[in-house]
Amino acid sequence: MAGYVIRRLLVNALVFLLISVGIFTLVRIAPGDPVRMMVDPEQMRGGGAAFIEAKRRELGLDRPVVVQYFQWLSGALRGDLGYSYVGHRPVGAVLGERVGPTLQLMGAALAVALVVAVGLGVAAAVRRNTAVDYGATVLGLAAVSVPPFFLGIVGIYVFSLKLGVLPSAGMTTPGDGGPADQLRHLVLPGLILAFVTAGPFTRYVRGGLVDEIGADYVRTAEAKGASPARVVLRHALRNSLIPLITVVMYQIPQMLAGAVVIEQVFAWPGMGQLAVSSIGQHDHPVIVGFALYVAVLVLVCNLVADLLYAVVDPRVSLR
Amino acid sequence: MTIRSGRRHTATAGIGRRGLAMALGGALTAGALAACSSDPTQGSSGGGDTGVLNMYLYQKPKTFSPLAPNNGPDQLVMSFIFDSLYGADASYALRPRLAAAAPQVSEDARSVTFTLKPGLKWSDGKPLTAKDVVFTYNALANPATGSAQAGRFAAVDGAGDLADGKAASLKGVTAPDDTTVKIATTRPAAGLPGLIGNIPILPEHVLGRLPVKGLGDDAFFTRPTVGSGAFTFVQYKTDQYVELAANPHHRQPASIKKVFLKPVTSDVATAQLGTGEMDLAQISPTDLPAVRKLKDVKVVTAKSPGFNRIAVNQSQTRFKDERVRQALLTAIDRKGLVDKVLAGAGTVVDSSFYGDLAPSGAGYPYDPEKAKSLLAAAGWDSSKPVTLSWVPGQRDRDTAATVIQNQLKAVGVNVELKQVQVDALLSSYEKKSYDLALFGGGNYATEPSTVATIDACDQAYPAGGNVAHFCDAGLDGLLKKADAVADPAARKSVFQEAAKVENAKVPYLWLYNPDTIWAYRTRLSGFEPSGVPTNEVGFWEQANWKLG
Repeated sequence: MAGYVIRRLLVNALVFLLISVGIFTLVRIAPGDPVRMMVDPEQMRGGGAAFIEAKRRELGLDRPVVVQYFQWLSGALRGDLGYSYVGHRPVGAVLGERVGPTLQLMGAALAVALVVAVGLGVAAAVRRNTAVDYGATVLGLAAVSVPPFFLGIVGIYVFSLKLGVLPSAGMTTPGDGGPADQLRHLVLPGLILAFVTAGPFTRYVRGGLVDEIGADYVRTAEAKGASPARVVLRHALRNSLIPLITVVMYQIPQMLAGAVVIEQVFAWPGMGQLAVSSIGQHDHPVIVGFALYVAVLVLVCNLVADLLYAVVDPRVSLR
Repeated sequence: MTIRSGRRHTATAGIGRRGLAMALGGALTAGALAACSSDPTQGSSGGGDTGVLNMYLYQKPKTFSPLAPNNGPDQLVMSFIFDSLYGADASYALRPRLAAAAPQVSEDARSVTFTLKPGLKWSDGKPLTAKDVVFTYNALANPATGSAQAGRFAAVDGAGDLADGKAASLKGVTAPDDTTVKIATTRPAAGLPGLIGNIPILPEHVLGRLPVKGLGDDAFFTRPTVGSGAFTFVQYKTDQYVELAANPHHRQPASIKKVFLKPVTSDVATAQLGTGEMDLAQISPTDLPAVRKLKDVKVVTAKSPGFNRIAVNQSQTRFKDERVRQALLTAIDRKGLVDKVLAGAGTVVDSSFYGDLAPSGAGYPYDPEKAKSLLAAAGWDSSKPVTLSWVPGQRDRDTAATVIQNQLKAVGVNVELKQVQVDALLSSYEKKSYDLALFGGGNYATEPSTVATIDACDQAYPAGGNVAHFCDAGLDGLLKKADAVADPAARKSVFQEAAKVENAKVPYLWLYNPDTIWAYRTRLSGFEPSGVPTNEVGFWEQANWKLG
């Protein structure tokens, strides 16, 4: 297994390097000049062209893309991802302060989504073709088909504006920021992200459990006199959750996309908001940093999914 | 179906991971329930605190540096924490702030004297003197600091040497005593006070020790520790809020203890006005009906010097004839646009010059027939299409583009709409590849000579802001003449003459100046609306604001 992990890590490192070349090149050759965006034409009073030229030189944008890439790579290998064009702070620091809020949002949402999905999935599986099952199907369908931003706006309208029970935006109330305050701010965006995430999970739990319930070993267990609840929870559910582990790990990068939207709607100061604003401002170093962060997340999640799969299902061998 | 009773049993095994998930879920639900029992408009967990003002920031700030290129939200924050010698009042005229009186311009307009109020202090209690002003102007005029504002100082004696690295400071800027700043220029520059007087003054005792090279990127500008405004900077919680506290050393200490400036979307800002999480917000005309319905919220408007206009690419032969540009202007029902698109909250304008400098009279009233005859006289080829480019996303501009397309089509100008990104628009200005470009922007109200930035022959983009590549020697001459006239009244009449020429030549298709609409909760008093509240375009007396 150790050999397998090392091999996978080496392959991942190579993939990561290739992704970095791709992202770097794409960002640099994409239309849009970050320096030009820095000055509103009307603010240029004779010195505009000179300012743009000087700034481009200062940022090294006057050099060939290949040179820029290797300069960036040598810095990145030393842990230096460069400076944000906007605000002139190290990219690592800019990304670093966003990881926490995004993890908090995604973590809470994932936890709630899993609880809901397992509960609802089991209920739907054991009560197939009843109102419970159909209800779960409709909810699951709604979760994947209603856009998160719409849910966000409805949520703000109902819970903030009409009922006045939840804050409409931000991660904390300015001047407060205690645990209770943070939790109150987390409820709406967290639940909405949990809802859209829980939809597909519920389908997997239900599907997996239905397959297991029909399996021979379940019938054997039943025949031996085990209580129905014990059969479902101890035997069938345990096995049916194995594919879910993989699905969850693959779904985490997907969740990030949902989080980007939720963060925009609720002014949540996470990675998603950073990505959107950096793209709008052509803040190349931050865009590259963010893209690589996503790449790492995907690679790590895939690796963890494979490893976990082997841990929970001894029939899977890693070689 | 054989198994149905599972739901009655709780899970007894696998408590680890699942248990944790459930605990988190439970906590979230508990939070939701707890939240239900408290009103966010009450107590410390919501808005509504006495002494704490929550205000909307329409975009996220980037940096709090007067050296950086102007950026609305940055300037708005800076207007709280830094002060300048002059600001603009509600009618966009220059008014003293740190200065004790109006600037003294010499007879030949080759020197300017500023006098400071005595006894001014920085927020750390240190005296604010003429030396700080000299330091600030040197930093701004020196491109080595990363200053994007050096162009404003072009007329100052020694600006060239400083820029070229031949001198370490501006020869023409001196401080004979603690409250006097003298500026000598190499050419007549009566407009200099309006050009540089509104720049926030920086503390020399904090920044003077730092290396000049790259000064603008110093951490001070992401976290300004010392200022001279009514408020001091406390922190910027990235993407969440800028926290400010009353400056005890301000010449007129504010009664509001804290201000939180929150960058949220306009929809959220409007919602928060209703919930009490927001006390003061700038709103768009389209949100007016919704905001008017909110309880305890007052709406006020101010005439704004900001504008929406269409640049006509005059490097193209077909747009060179001024009759074509006059026809385009006449073919657009601008009054209708203001009434329908802005819900009446705006003013049709006929010139880049503002207020009583602008030519009075009929201007270019909507007249499709006249437009047709002007186009015919100019030999307009209606078979060739014309693209109208704009950056989409602002509701009034998006609607205006479609209306204008139809109105121009009606007089035989075949307009095709083209939505573009900001940088694509900028590069089309430089490549001279666009036809018509709809855009909005700042103002030339406080210092009319800045109209040169968008009109003068030598200011063609990207050197200056003349994106239309318009050129008229007569207008250039008048603007130059105005710079040599020291007497304000005489200067005004030169500008009025320039405005007439500009009006006749139509360098841009002026559409309208949208009003600025502010909404605030009635517990706030002493708030006087102004256009865009930056030192450049109008200012607030935040010290007068009170919370009930």
